[in-house]
Amino acid sequence: MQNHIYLRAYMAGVTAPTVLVVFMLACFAVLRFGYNVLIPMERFLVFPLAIVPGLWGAWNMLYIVMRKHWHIPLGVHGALVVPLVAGPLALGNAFLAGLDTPRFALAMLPAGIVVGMLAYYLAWKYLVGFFNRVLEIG
Amino acid sequence: MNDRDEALRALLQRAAPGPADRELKRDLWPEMRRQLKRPSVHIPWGDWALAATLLLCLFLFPTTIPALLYLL
Repeated sequence: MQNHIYLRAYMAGVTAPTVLVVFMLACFAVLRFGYNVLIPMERFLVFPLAIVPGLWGAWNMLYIVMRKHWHIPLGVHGALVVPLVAGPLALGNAFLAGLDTPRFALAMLPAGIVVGMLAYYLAWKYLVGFFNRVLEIG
Repeated sequence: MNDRDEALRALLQRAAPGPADRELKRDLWPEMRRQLKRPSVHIPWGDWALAATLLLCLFLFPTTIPALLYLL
């Protein structure tokens, strides 16, 4: 399996969030319909459903390009997606979709970014790293 | 097995003969041994600490949970 390395990188990157998105969707459905938390589901889910999996795939393709020039651990590369791309995109999407963002949520933004980077670091190191090895690009 | 069963069996074999060559092309045992010898996933203590920190953050600041799910 030597050909189409970028396609394989995209597939490896997309797999983890595609699986996790089901879990995420279930959590929000329980919150919305079980506990009547007022979440505008249809506007809220645009970002995680439509953008995040493709973003992971594209970021994994970028990893293949970047590792040719300098060595960066996959976990660190994955963690950087939060402050550089996913965070600004998520915030922009939240504002564009007219989601009500409480003030305290904005005040917690730095902590949220750190928590997101931690989660992304672990997910990329172990999940995406595993899929990269399976697809022989690790 | 009567004549009709035999005829049916012959018909089925003619219609769907299956793969002609069923023999293995290579010995699978060395690959199995390699798989058995492969060390299990080793998680360094630093990553355990990071995972614990993440869980602690989620526990202390539960408002970050929806934000984290939003990013997944």
